[in-house]
Amino acid sequence: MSFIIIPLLYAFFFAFLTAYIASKKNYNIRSWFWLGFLLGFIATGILLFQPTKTEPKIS
Amino acid sequence: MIGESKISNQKTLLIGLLVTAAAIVLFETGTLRLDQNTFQAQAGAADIVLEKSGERAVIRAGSLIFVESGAGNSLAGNLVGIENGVIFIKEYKSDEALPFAISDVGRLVHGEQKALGKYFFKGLKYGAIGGVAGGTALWLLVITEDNSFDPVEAYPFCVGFVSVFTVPAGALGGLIKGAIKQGKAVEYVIGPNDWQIVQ
Repeated sequence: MSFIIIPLLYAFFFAFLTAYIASKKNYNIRSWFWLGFLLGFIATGILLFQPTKTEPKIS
Repeated sequence: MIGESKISNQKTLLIGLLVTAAAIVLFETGTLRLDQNTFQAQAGAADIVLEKSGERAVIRAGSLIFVESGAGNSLAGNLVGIENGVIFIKEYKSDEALPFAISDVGRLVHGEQKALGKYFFKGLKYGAIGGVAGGTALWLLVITEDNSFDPVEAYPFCVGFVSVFTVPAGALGGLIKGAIKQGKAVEYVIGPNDWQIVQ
């Protein structure tokens, strides 16, 4: 049982971490959540080196 | 409105992050276990007593043991006990105790034979956990003391910096522990002129 639970926990950890960084950098949260889930720390690493997007101005 | 939704999203993500991190720490440190089939010696189980020309050795029920017959059949795991000429051993991956006839035993090893690799990876794991924990502590210190750092970008650097020290230290500690455990493994050769199982 633990051999499924622990990798899943790691996947969700990186998914949340990547999504959190994505929201801070104004990227699409949902896409980066799944990228983090599937790619783990690789997605986090890629996102960390991306520039922060500027928020669209609301008139 | 958009700003509020974004903050709410970030809060949810942060809670999810903390919950999963806590769960990982609990599982990895063994505080929380899913399989509760941890070994416990049966009440009243007998220990193995060996004798060789007046010298006596006792292997307690519950300790790690490896037995091998003259034909090459072997069994390794935790000693459950000895009863009516049969040694009962619980293998690492199974729940039931398997029998091994005393008359078949040609060699008996008490202790861990392949401990080096096992403790090396265990040390590596603890080093990584220490790196994440220490890195998080350093990160908290850095972001509260200095406002010039971006908290998100500083986190991996803090974890990476602490891990550089903790991971090799953990691996080295594991190697040393494994070497000690491996060195402590005692081998008993069973035979008429060697060790004999008397109980």
